[in-house]
Amino acid sequence: MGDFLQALNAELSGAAPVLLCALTVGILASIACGVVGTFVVNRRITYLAGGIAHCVLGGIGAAIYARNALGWSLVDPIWGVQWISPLSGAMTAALLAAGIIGVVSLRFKQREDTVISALWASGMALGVLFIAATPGYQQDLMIYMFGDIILVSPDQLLPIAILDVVVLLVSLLFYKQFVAICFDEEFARARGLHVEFHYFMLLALTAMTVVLLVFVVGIVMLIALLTIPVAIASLFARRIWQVMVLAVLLSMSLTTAGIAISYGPDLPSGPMIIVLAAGLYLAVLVVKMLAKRMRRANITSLPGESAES
Amino acid sequence: MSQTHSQSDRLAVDIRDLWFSYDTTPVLRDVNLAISPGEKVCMVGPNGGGKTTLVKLILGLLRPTQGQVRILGGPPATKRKRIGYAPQHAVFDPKFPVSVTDVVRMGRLGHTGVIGPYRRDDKIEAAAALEAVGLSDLSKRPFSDLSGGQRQRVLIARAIASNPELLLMDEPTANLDIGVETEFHHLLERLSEKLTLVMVSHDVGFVSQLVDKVVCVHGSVAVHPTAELTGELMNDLYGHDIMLVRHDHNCQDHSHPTERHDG
Repeated sequence: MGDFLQALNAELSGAAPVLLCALTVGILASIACGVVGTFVVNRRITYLAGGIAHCVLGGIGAAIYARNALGWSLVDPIWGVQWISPLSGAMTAALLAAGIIGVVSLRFKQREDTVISALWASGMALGVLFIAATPGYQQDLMIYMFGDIILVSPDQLLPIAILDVVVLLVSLLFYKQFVAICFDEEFARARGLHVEFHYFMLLALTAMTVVLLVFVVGIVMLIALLTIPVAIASLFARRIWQVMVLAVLLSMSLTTAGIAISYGPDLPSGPMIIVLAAGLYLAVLVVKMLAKRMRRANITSLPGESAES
Repeated sequence: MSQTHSQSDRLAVDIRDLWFSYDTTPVLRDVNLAISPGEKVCMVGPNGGGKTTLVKLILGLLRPTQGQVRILGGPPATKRKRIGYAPQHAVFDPKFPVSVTDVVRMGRLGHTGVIGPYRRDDKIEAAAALEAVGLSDLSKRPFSDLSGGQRQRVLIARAIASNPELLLMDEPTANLDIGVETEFHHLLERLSEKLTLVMVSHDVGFVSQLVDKVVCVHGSVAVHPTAELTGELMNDLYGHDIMLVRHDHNCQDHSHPTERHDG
């Protein structure tokens, strides 16, 4: 932890801001993660989100291949932005996967898990092949799969921040519709809401959040960061917006703590964040269970008290 | 042609020559049903007889395989703002984090603005609807904390929050808490003064005092005035002996010594 604070201090006074970037992205991604994660968990589409996440590797692989093996760059003459990057590749693949998975889940209903599993693996296979075909990028595969703080460079902060703002804005502006279709799709339809449109919008938000999370914890484990803070928050909060606020705060704390703890011993930050999240969830469950048991013991030991109180 | 149309425009529900099947076996066969504005109708019939399917056809959630459904003078999908719908409470995820108020406000969708939170009049109408079903004091409680009967009343509040002209209720009397039957009966009476009421219920004894027509749905549809409703008819419909329970709504205290009203 001392190393972390020292390094942070050095960066604040001018060194290359690797840690600062990672912490900022962690905080930014946590906002989208808590908000969209709450919808994903309550609409029960975590499996769809997992599918989208793994398809992202295909896009990242394609971008790396196009840029490094084929030498395409597509530099914007005005802004100087490189349009082909792992971020843009991930974004394209995520939105495309969200669209396909959305259609599949509406059309195939009973067999949606089969089709999504197929997409899940194929997206990933494409990514592995693209990266294998690009000489010198083998270690990128590991980094994107499992997450690392070195993934984010300062010039990616702006697009990531924009993505975050878009996700947050859309989620809040259409909050009541999203809550309604998560709670009771049929009633929402009976009220004249365009349920499919909102469903696809929710999947697009999921796709964008997934891309943000790739840069924090990597493809394989991001589903845990999308769901665990929501699961913990749901133990305490009783309304959707309360779950969201709590999940965002938890997610921010977990990513920050994960990066801080993993920095000193030079461990990958992604897995550290997930282990912390799972550990916290387990701890909260155990404490809740013990508290319930103690309350029950208190009640039964008081004669004449009703067990319902 | 124009005459039949203007006739249809006056009807709350106008179903003609309707057939419906989910796959190949027809669930509903050659259904004709006309419900005038202000009428109170109960749908009865065995499980799998097509009651809920018929409700969903009226709502426009399902499309008829053949025939046509006109609601309030137009196709159902165009009239949704004027239809209230209360499904059965049992279909919800019990862990879903919403408060009673959150649920009732969903009834304002279609009336409220597209972007941003619910507006002031939505909140007022939702509160009034909750008041009408007698659950104002539970407004802040989580929906999942309520009893089955209370949830059912919340769903009715949600259905009437949009001040509908046509109210469809699927099994509103299922899981009703002991002691609130009378209250519930009064609620339905009050509601039915202002609107056209269509409900699905097994509890024929309970609703027969309230409705003008009983629609027997069993693949095909037969309409009976309430007066015709006899045990024999019900036996024919359900295909076996059923018990018609007598419902008094002024129970004598001494006949129910253990029962208390949970006001």
